[in-house]
Amino acid sequence: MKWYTLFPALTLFALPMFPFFDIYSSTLDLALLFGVLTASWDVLAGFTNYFNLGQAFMFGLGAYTSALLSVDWGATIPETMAASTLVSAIMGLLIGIPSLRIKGPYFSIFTLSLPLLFEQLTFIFPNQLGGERGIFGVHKLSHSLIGSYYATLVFALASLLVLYVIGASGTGLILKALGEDEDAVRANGLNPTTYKIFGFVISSVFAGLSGSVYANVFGFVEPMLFSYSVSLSVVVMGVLGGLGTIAGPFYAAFLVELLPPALGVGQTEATIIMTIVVMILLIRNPSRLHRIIRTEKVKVEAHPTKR
Amino acid sequence: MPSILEVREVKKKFNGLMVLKGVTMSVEAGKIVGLIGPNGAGKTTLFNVISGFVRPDSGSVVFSGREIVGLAPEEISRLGVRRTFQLLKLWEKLTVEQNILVSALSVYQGESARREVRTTLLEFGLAGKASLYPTQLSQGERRLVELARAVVAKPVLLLLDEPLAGLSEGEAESVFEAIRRLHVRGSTMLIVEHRVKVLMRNVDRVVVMDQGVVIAQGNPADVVADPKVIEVYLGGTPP
Repeated sequence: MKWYTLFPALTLFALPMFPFFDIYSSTLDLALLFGVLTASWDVLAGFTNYFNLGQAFMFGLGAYTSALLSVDWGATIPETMAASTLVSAIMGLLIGIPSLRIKGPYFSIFTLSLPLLFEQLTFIFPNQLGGERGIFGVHKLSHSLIGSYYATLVFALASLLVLYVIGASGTGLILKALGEDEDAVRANGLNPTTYKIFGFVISSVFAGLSGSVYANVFGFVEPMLFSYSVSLSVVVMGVLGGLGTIAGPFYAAFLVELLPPALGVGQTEATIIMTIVVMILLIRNPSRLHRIIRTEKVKVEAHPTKR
Repeated sequence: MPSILEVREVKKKFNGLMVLKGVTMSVEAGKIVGLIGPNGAGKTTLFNVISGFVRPDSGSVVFSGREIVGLAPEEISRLGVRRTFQLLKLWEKLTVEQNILVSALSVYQGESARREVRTTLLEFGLAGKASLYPTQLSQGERRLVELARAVVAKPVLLLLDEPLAGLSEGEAESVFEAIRRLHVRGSTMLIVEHRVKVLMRNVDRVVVMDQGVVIAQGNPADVVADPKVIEVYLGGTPP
């Protein structure tokens, strides 16, 4: 991880000067939020190789928390963001503590099911959670396109900086170490589970905050926020951007979100193109798939027949 | 001298096979103890029991007066037991300096940790290799990095599992020189090593295991002359 990889993000301040800005401002806002969502996913997946296959869950949770507090309780934007942070952190602990104690694919399998569960809840409780239609009338950060964009950009860059600092810190080193060999981490006096849970809580908090900002930028939330395509996009963009780099997944997510309008194609076509690219990457480097599904068995060094 | 480590009647079975059949041995503070035995004797299993990676079926392991059976490896490590592995477990995506820093962070914080790492790098002659990755090092240098990583936290007891495995004579001499310097500083060590002659020249006591039990222990000269050891090792030729 190199600090100068953060610099290109500063050029995003200049985008409103371009004539296409008004047409694509919403897409840019979404691209920034997906950038943070993917960078936050990278803190756990890219460093520890524990792949969260349901990042949409925390995104949707943050969004719906903000929406409900805003619409039902009249909470201010700082209050809804604080609440989303707290809810995401608590859920991160509740999910992380039981599922990250065990090595293997269990964490990935568990996180895969969470977005589906909550998506269904929005349909089961339509009066409270809006059902298929979602929740409208959420307080907006700004009613101008430029205001919304800069508010989102400041959030995105601040988040990117915080995530980068965590990744480059001693804690980030420990996360990377346990991603390679947890037994070596334990033999050197550190508890891998504590650090994995920390990584997941950080990832959850920033995913939840991205959802909260989404609600406050667009003024509504809907069940689609929990969809598998969101979670899958995060994984794909994270892998494309370079696992364990924070900035790479951020830029990959940002650029890929802009792909459909840039190529003049629809979202479906863009998804197909992206999927083909990822398949080619996986065929060329199968170890990426190996890391995603964590099928590597724990090597037991002491074998009764050997020593 | 008081014993820093006492292993009492430790038994362990894997898949119906008794790997440790009641091992009893001890390590005195400030001494180097060599642990030898043929393949399958149970040496690494014993290391795994002491360091907490394997829980024994019965018996006890007392470290600095405290029972440590049942504690997690990281808890035992924080109490002062650090180990190396026969199959090196370096973090290949971290530099030499970062490998050692991760261990230092278990005991120190911030700038103190970085200072200890710099001191350790100098001590092991690795300062010039600090920014390299393990894949860029020779096997001997990789062994030194793993040793440095264990030592930076100033452990009370070092468990070294075949620290010379896979090394040339020259590399082995460098690594054992580092081990000797640690001993001069007062470090207590338990070393498993198949290069028995090198080990015998450099340890205070030897424990010999065979088929899950201790068959002899004492000073090197006595152990080498023990008929049971001679019988087990090389069919009648002293090790």
